[in-house]
Amino acid sequence: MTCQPEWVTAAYADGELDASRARSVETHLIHCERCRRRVLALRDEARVLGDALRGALHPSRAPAPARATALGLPLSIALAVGIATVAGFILDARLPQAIAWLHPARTLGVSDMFWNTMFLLQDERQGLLELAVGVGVVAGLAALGSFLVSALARRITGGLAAALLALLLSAPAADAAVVLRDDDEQVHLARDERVDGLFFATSELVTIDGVVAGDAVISANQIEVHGVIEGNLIAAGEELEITGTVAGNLILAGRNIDIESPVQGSLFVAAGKIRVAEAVQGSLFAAGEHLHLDAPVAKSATVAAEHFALSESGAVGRDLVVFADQTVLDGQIARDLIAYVETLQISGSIERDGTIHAEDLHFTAGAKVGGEVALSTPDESAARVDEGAVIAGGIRFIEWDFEHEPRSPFGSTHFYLWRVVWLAGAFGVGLILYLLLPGLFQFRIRSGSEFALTLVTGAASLPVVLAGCIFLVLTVVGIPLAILTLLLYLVAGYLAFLAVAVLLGRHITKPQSERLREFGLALLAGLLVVTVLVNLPIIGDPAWWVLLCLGFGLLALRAREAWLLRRALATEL
Amino acid sequence: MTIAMAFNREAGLLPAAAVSPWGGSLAEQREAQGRAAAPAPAQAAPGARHSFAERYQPHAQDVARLCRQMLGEDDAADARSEVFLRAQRAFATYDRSRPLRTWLLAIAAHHCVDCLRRRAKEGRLFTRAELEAEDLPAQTAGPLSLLLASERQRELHAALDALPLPLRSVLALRYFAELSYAEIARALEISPGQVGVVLFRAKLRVRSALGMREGGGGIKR
Repeated sequence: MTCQPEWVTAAYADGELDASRARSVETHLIHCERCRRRVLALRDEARVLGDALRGALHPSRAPAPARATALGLPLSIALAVGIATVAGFILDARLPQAIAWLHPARTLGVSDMFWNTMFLLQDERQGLLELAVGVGVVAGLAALGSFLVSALARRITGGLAAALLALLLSAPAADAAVVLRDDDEQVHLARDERVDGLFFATSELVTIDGVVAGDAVISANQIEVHGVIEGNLIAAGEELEITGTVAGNLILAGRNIDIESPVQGSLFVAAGKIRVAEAVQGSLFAAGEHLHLDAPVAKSATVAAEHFALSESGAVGRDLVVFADQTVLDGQIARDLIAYVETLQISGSIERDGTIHAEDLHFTAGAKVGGEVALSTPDESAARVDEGAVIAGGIRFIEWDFEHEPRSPFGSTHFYLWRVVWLAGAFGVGLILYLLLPGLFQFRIRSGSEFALTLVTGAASLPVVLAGCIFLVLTVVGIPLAILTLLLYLVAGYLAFLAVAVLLGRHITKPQSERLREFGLALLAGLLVVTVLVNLPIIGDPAWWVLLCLGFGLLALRAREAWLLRRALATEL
Repeated sequence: MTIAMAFNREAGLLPAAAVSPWGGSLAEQREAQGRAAAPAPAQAAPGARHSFAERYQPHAQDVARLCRQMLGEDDAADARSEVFLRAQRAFATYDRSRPLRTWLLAIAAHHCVDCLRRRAKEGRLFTRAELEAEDLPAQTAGPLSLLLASERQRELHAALDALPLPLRSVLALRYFAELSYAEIARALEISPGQVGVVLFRAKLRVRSALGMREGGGGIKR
């Protein structure tokens, strides 16, 4: 038998020939000393190569790989941009009446259409919509819950650490005195009791007869404050009755809120029914269904309500701004009145001017206006001025402009200027981030399923974070953490667009290295695409959402990856 | 979901080499030796739960090195983390009778080949001609000797550095990762026979870079 070609002998030397071929080579080796030596030499060579490969390779100057020209993503984006732009211009220029609802100025995007449809549905078929939303929410929560549980089960330590961190962050500094009272039935701070520091209370019924020397944060079904609060009072509940003294600001939310104590600071309140019976030294911000202001507010008042009444004993020290359906003003307003209302009846006095949008306006006898009234009503007969009402500057009718056509943003230079400013800002931020944290932008999407995963992760993060924040707020103690989370989330929202821009930019420019110049180029290209894309008529709005979700997904997956790697490769060279 | 499944499938595609028709007696021996030498499975007493990261740790450097050898410095860092994640996802399917190192390096091989293929024109790592044995010299002057290599370390390294990445990958997969031809073939999607051919071509290149004649003095078939 003749000698085998050397590559076969080499495979034999590597022990990689199948049994029958190996046998035939071995038969040959018995006779051929030359091949025997060759096999030994080849094994030596294998060892030499193995040793060399095990030893450090020199820092490679491997030639930049010729990347395959990717046609898919960039081309399709370019196409979409082109088509949408042309479509937008055509729609903008000449628009058949039948599809007027598609007008970019009238409906800025698909999400507007979505909400309009939702409201329509809600009016028409209430039960159906709620059922659908309910089923969706339950399904989403179930999926999320099972995912979280399985993730937690696998990384119980990580979960614990997160929980601990949450506690640490949400707990105020150790030296600040915190009194936490938590009871199912009721929490009562007796008349002779005094709390120094921050007072937290959650229960069914919370009654404060004593003194809280710091701030008080209360969440309960029924809240009664008869004592003294030397700091701010933050309270949420069904029924709130405040008759004591509050030295700081009052921040309240509930169903029925009765304020019969003087407030030294400002009053922020949102509730179904609100009555303010004692003087407020600061400003008033109120939103509710029924709002009665029976006492003077020293500074300005801003009010949104269905029914708003400023009684004779009530007064506003500065301006009153009111958005309401039915408004009755019997008290005194020391400066201007600005009102966007349906019906407005004035028998009190306004020391300066009034700017009023109303469908029905009635100045009764005794009404007094120091300046002029700028009034817009559907027609001039909608304003009645009784005998005895005094309007020093007279009434000036201005155009009723509630139903004007919304103007397309694409016509104004401001629109373009702001986009350029945004782009420049994002570019700068991106470059700085790249210098500080070059690893942040190390992401790629390699396949359709990765794209889907990223998108779904991002989309899931929106309700999850929101729900988490709401939950934290409900615990009262977690409010600072919730605020922090929201802030971080806003920052992440900005970063999300940068992330998507980098991803798109890299797809377009295909940088050969990680140098700043090439990164900058990619970032700029990506930002340009993103800016144009999200501002296109019709598709800009959904594109914005998709990019946001994609960006969140990229950041979230990147963070997870970084965390895993750090854990695993901590000691690697 | 689909990604994890893909990885699992990939890992499942890597059974012991002995199954392959090319897995000869020597290969089996080598596998057995590797099994005995590998410390990782021995530690995995039933019940004792080692986290994946802990078990990955001792091999992290080898994975990193293989990535560097197959992809060059620039992309190695990326690939390394990618391999870690892939392996972690596929860990449930890891057959504990195999050495962990081989399993990890096989995963790394698959990943790096994917990367190489993405870079390559039409996704092909080797030309048709490269895979055929037609023009290979039947016999050559001589393989690299231990003596020569120890004298000319630097040149040898330079020669390896200069190899095209697909060729260097094959060398690394065989002599560094110590994968069988069958495993390499699966990663490269070529036949085990073609692995032998390509491997030999890579060796010839290294030899000629070190100034050794090829095809001299041999008996032509």
